[in-house]
Amino acid sequence: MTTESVMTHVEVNCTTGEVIERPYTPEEISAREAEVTANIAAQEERDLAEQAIAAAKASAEAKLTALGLTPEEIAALR
Amino acid sequence: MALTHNLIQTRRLVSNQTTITFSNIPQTYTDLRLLVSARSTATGQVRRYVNVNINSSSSPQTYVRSIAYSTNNTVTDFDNVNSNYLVMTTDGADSGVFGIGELYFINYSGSTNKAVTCTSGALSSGNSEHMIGIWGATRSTTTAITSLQFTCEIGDFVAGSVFSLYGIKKL
Repeated sequence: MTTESVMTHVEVNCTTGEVIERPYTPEEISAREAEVTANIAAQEERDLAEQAIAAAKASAEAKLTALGLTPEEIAALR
Repeated sequence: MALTHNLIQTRRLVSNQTTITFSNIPQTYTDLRLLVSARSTATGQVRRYVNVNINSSSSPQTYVRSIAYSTNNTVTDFDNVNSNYLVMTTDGADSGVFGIGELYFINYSGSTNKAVTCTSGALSSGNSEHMIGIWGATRSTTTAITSLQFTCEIGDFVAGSVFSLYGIKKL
C-alpha cells in the first residue's frame, strides 16, 4: 500500500509525445484507496479458490494412490 | 503478416509510479500491441495483477474472458467476467525480477471484432508462487480505444518497469 505523498500519475500523449507527471489529487487518492481495498478482497477470494483447487487435486491424487496408481501414472494423467 | 509494426510510445519508469496512461492513441493502425515489464511495491506476495483501464472507464475491466493459467505444475481453466489478466512480480519476489506480459488488441479503432489476447508470466526462483497465463477476451464496448491506463492491483509500479505500445497495420 502506498502513501498519499508518493501516489503519482504519468500520462504519455501518444500523438504529441508529451509526458506529464503529476501527483494524485485528493479525490484520486480516495478512489485509489477504495480500489485497493476492493482488490485485496478480490485477491483473498482468488486465494481461497486456488486453495480449494489445490486441496481437490491433493485429495484426488491420494485416492488414486489408494487405488494402486504409481506417482508416475498419476503424473501421466495430468 | 504485419505491414507495419511501429513503436508508438514507450515509457521506462525512473521512479515509482501509481498510474501510467497512454492517451490520444492514434487511430491509424489496425491493431495495438502492448508489451509490459512490471513489478509492484506490494508486499506479502510474490505476484499481483496489473489493472488495465480502457478509455478511462469507471469500470477497469470490461471483458468477458476465458483463461488458462498455471500457478503450480498443472494448468487450470477458468472463465470469468470483469477480471484481471496481466501479472507482475512484487516485493516478495527475487530482487530485480520483473513480470512480463503482452496484450494484443485486434481492430481497436473499429466497432466490431473486439478480441484481445494476452500472455503473461511472473516467476520467482525461490518461491512456488508463480503464475503463467494465456488469456482471451472480448471487449464489451464498441468504442475505439483512445487511451489505456495501468495501475497495480496493490502498490505502485517500481522504477524500471517498462510499458511499450506498438501500432500494427496488416497487409
